Amino acid sequence: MGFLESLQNSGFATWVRESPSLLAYQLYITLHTIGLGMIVGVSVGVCLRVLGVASALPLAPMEKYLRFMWLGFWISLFSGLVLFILEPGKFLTIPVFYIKLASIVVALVMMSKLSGVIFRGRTAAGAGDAPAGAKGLAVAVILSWFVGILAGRVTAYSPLIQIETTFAVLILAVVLTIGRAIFIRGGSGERAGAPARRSHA
Amino acid sequence: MEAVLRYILDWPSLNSFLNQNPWGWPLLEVTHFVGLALLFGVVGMFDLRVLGVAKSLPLEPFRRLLPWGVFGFLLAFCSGLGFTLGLGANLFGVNAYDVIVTNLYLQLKLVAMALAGLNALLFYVTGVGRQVDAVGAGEEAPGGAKAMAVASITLWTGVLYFGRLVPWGL
Repeated sequence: MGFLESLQNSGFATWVRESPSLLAYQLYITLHTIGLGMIVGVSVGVCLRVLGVASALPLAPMEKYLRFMWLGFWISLFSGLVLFILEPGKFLTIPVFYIKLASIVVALVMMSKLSGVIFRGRTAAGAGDAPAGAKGLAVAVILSWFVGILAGRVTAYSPLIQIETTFAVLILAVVLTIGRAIFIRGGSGERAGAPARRSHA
Repeated sequence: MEAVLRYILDWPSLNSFLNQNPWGWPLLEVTHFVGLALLFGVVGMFDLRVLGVAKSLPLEPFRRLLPWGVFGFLLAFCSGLGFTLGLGANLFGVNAYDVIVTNLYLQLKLVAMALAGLNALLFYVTGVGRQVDAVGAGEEAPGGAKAMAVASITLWTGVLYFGRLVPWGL
């Protein structure tokens, strides 16, 4: 704890915590959000394609986007570490903070496995259906990011509100899923038409 | 005019709902962040392809991913309306009119959003969208489309940046 305390009491941490400058706390919190948008957005974009959205799009070239996911990761990690040292004791005593970190690790591990399946080796995929096992991994990645965002957002609230919010999010997610199933029955024409429009690339 | 806007922006039912249900505000936050990630990711990936990243991707089929960006926008938009119109629950009795008139970051965010929307509209109405549809695997997108892609990425990043700063403008 001594090391973390000295970080927390360092001139830099004090300045980031207390200065009204746009380069202090506000820079790191905005970077953290932009990093989140990159890492989760790109990762989910690739997963949606694996799950059959825009299946005429060849899958293999999407590997090029992963560097932007990792750029988002480094931005989030860097800004997150700075935000962490402002109050390390607080974060380390909040259980959902560990859930957030764990879900990020799970999401990244699953995403790496997914990359292995769709981008490398004999299973590397072009247009049409993703290889076996990829869809399960894609669902796992999306769910992990979802849990990560939920846990990250509710960190600021009391445990009771955290639980209530989790239920509210689950109910909203179920309602949206049912709504989607009703309004886009059969996953729309894009899935049905996919095998016929294989890319000639 | 001001009285009319104050009346329109006054949502006592939403305020009391958020006051009585402590999960209401964090639910809006989670929805907002899920929405922004979806929007930023899907639209950003499309813009990057237009700029030449992952060039082996043909652009016409890429269009079918974009509705998910629109869905992300809708999630963020609805939850964002909830924040703005329900702010009175958080800051006692504040009317959204005062926030819109005084919060510089919210104003900058709304301007960036309007410009990003205009950019998307121009993409479709000026025929750039149709040019982009013709861009096959390995082909370069036209200069106009690239300019719009740069504008899109810049403006949406600005929306995220100013959006996160809104609490400091209150």
